Amino acid sequence: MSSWIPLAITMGYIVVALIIGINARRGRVMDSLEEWGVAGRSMGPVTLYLLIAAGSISAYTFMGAPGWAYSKGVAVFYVVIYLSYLALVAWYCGPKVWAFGQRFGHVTQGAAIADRYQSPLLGGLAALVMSIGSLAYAVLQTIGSAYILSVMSGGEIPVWVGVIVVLGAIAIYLYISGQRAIGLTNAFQGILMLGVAWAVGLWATHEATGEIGFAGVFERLASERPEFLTLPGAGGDIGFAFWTTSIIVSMFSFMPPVWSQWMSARSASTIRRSATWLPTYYIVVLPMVVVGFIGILALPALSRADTVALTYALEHMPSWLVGLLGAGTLAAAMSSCEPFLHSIAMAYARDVAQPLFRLSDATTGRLARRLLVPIMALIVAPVAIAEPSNLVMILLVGLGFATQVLPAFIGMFLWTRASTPGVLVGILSGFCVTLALTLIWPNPMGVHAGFWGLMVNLPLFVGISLMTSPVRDDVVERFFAISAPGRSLG
Amino acid sequence: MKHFVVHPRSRRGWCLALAFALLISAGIWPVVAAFNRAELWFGLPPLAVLTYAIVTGCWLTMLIANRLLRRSDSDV
Repeated sequence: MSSWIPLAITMGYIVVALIIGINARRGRVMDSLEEWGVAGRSMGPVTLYLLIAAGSISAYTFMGAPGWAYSKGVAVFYVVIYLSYLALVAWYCGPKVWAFGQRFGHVTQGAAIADRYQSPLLGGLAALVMSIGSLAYAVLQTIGSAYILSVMSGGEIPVWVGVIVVLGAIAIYLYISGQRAIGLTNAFQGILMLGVAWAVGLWATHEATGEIGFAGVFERLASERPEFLTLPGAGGDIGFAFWTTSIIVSMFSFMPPVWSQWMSARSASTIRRSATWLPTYYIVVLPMVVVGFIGILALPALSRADTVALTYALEHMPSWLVGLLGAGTLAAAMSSCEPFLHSIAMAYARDVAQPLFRLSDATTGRLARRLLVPIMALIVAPVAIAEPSNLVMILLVGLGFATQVLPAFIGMFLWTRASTPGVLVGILSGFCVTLALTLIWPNPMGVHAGFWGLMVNLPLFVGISLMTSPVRDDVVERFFAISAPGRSLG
Repeated sequence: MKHFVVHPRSRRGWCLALAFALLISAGIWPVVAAFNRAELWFGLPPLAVLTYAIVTGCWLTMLIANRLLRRSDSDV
């Protein structure tokens, strides 16, 4: 194989993303949160569709998902199911979040929480703790990006250089064009990923079976390794309880970037139209998962399951396709990393610094933009270069916490009586339980730690809300005029 | 003050809520147990078939819901 071709294609992808991201600004002034943070609430249905779709398809789809298929089997399909359910959540909640933002001026999730519960403390606390999971997620995607550059260069580009190259590119276009850069680069990355996943999946299938369809792959597995076709999977660790609770926990994780994406829409109906078509994008997972299944028989002795797609490509595919796989995987990692970095900068400026230092909106807008580089240079880059072994654990705890914020959203969309102490106690108790059942006694009885957290969180939230004073009527009326039009507290 | 839990207020709304609930039930236990077989349907494992049936179901349900919303003229 010509060793420079895969690296040239992968680097070429970075250059194209950089050009698209920088040009997304189109002469607009980016010093307000309204413009830099939510693109002036201007995104149309196609851009929004690709923005949300590419944002939710991370490096996991190109590395982790084939790895899960390789090591566990059909259990990997739970990801496709929860992503489809997230589209249902976006269809129901997205238009309401957009209307909150447009009428009350929210640009972050923390601002909406602080407003609904009349508590900057609760908004800031939610933003800070959400940022732990967001940072861990951004670091993981950065490590994945650097790993891809290292593989594509045959080991010539060390991880620290890869981290600087990837974060440098993201920093430039994100600083210049904000959410508009995320929208346009994600659109490009989304189309690239879809094409690459199907090209790689079909090529690998043809290479392994001589056919274009996937049936031959599964027929061989059914006769030689049938344990990969059912739960609890080849490792015996993904039972019905873990499958079910993982889906429930994941579909109720309202991560901050998703909130910003909804607020960036041109209208409420734009979100509905995008959400409606979102499940169609998730067929992108199928061909990459098939590569993992092919690896079970073709690469039986891999030490790292998540390298199965790349290893198979390097051994069986032409260099141009290996390069496209590198570009597609890098696109997946970058398209997921940049919305998290952007939302962290906004949350620190708007939900923490603004109430703490009583900053004006204009100063807060400028601060958010300028916080981006320190967050990358002082937190994400050093941690990514250090490649900590317990990062996945931090991420799992962070995502587990994201689900524990559910009471705050129930009080926005479904239940008028939710009180500030009820939400606070629910979140804190759920977080402690999730933390303990992730670190000390992982997933007891095969049930996801975040689900155990919700089992404690939700009853406490309801009980304490009923025992304490609700939020002021005028605030509740204001929110539920959007969440339940035509009904009032009277 | 009279507080409330938000729920559908029309037959159309209840039908949509039921469709959403059925879709979510289809992806979790016990329904998923019925598809947990080491055999192939249309060349795919039954769990993969169920997965893409759910993907299609979510898409179609939201398409229908959008039409119903347009007809009832209530956005947001």
